[in-house]
Amino acid sequence: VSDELEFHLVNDLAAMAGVVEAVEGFVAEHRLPAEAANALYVCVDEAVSNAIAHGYPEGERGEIAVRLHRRADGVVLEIEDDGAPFDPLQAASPDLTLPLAARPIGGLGIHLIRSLMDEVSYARRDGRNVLKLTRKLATR
Amino acid sequence: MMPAGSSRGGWVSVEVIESNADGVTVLEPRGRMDAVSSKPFGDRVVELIRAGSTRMLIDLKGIQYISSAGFRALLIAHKQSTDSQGRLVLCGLSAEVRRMFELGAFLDLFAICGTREEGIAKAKAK
Repeated sequence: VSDELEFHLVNDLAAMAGVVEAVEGFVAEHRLPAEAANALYVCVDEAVSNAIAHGYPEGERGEIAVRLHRRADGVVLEIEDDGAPFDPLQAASPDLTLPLAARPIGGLGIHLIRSLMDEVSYARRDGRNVLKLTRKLATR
Repeated sequence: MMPAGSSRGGWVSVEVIESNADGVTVLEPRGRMDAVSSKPFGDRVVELIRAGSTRMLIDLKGIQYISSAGFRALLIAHKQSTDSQGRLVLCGLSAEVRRMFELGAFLDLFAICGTREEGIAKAKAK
């Protein structure tokens, strides 16, 4: 059982199946609890689809890396892309008090990421966006 | 069965079982409601409502997880249902899916039932 997983994909939604399968494998290998597994699946979907949508001009090929690291006290999910500088954590929180018909969907993804993860940070490093998300787990 | 999340590689992340119960259209998506599959699923729901299936139950028991893209599809379906004077009911939320509805503050906004039977009754009520 490896404590590390690194998966690379191109900036195309059609390529997301592979990363989901890789995360499923990691979840099974580490026997992560259902809540943590759900958090990882949702955050991977939000962060990777966000990077694909915001990082690249039409037709430009890019590369996204997804890393998972099982630490003693939790699991770290890192999403790195070579797209335009974009800090998703700057997105405004959605107004959750609005009625259904008036609900904008923008900002919901990042709201879910913040709610599901214990620590979130963004950095622009070596020309890449790095989103680091940590979910705490009972110490093994 | 209708593959709703088909991608260029032929991969399907959600499939939808469609049936009818007592005049209520029942949709049971199975798989993930994610960035890939949610749009085709939402499109199918809107298409059905426009075609006259205004009383609809979406049974989410086969959903592994739902992301914001899934909620976007459900919001669009809800709007179409309202515009068509229809009724859209959800049921079969697993603990994790329910938690996502809670985090998005959607629990009180959608009509949500525990079982399929309750959902069908609610969808067909005047």
